[in-house]
Amino acid sequence: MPVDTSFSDHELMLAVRDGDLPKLGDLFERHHRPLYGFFVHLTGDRIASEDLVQLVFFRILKYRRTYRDEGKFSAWIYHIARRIAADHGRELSRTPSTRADTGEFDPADLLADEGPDPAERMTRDDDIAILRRSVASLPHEHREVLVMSRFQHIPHKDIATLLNTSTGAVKARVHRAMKLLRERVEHARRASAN
Amino acid sequence: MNCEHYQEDFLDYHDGTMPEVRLLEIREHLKTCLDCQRAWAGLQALQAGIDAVPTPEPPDRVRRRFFAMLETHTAAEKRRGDIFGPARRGISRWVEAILPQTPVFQAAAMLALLAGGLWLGTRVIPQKPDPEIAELRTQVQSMTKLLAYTAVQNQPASDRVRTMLASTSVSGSGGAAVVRLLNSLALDPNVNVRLSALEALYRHADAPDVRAGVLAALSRETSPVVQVAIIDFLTAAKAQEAQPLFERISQQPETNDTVRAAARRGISEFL
Repeated sequence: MPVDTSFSDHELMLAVRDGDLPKLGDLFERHHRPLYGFFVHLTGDRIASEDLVQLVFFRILKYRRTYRDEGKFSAWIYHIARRIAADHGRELSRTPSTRADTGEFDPADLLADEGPDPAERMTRDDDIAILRRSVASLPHEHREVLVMSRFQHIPHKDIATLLNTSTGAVKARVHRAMKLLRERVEHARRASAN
Repeated sequence: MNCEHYQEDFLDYHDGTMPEVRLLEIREHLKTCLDCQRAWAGLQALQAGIDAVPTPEPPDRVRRRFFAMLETHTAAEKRRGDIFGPARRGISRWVEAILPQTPVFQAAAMLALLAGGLWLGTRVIPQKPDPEIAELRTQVQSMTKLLAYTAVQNQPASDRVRTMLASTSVSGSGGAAVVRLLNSLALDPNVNVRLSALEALYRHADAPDVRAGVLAALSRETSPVVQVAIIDFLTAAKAQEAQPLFERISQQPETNDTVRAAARRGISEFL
């Protein structure tokens, strides 16, 4: 579907706020793919990510009157997305299917036949598969900043606004996340080679 | 020499988002520090691996679900602006003006009317045998619950949505809050309110009576967006008892395609 590029995200959202609901379709076309990627990288669950994307836009509709004149749409949409991802994580924590959010790390997770994608299971020793599982094994606070910074390429100052912290703190957190990711990738490669 | 401070800046160095002065410092440091050279090479390799991960592409049903929701929401907004809207809003304002505004006083006024009616009844109506009085009391209790629900329904839709959202913070699986959510899911004319109620019910999905209430709502629901949301709820809650209804929905040719697809997806999750 062709996307109207003559208006900025902010202008489109102001129009939605003021009652021009079809303009949300343009925002959807611009943002649903990166949003879906954000949720897939964060949760490792493609099916759930479809629902989470829908929920983001549902909440944008529901809360459209709270969008401010001086707001920044990308920050707003990721603020909503983070809240939804956190709610999703809390729902999942009621079932003991993942230990990543508690910080417990089991090296066996890096080699497990997980994921809904049969192609991924067939290429379990593939570097991409190892990297994906290593990202999924990170504790939530590391995984979140890593996905936002290194996968979604959100600038550190924007992440700092989302997390209500300083740019320096975000940089340090991303650095620690990358260091931990590197350790887990190397561990998985060694285990896979044995 | 504090290598950690240099290594923390490697990401900005990699992304080219660093002031020139600091960039030169790091470049000079890398010429002589083997540890940092290894760390820099490792970071480059890791970022290259991240960049090689394919961007997940959403299936087309994501778009179909969104535009179905947008269409339903837009139609609901248009209905609110119908020709009887001003008259309805005028009557609502008159009713709001004469009735108490807060739920507590609304409930108190309702109970006062009920008590007054019962007292009057004992004075005017001849005494009935005990079993009939017991039945009358049961009917009055049901009426009390319906009046309480109706008092909430007199609020504007935006207030009802806020009420649903406030219910997301209610803990515990029982109680009046859950009953109100199930009633809203089943009876509220506003799609957003029904969706908000369903969203609030997620934290109670483990309770069998909640799943039964949501399942009953599905059989009466007519909005495709809410139907899909309910199917997803029951699927996520692993409500196997919903499978027969899912199978019926998936086979009805008059049912919305997206709803049928959601039902089929739910069935495959149960198998």
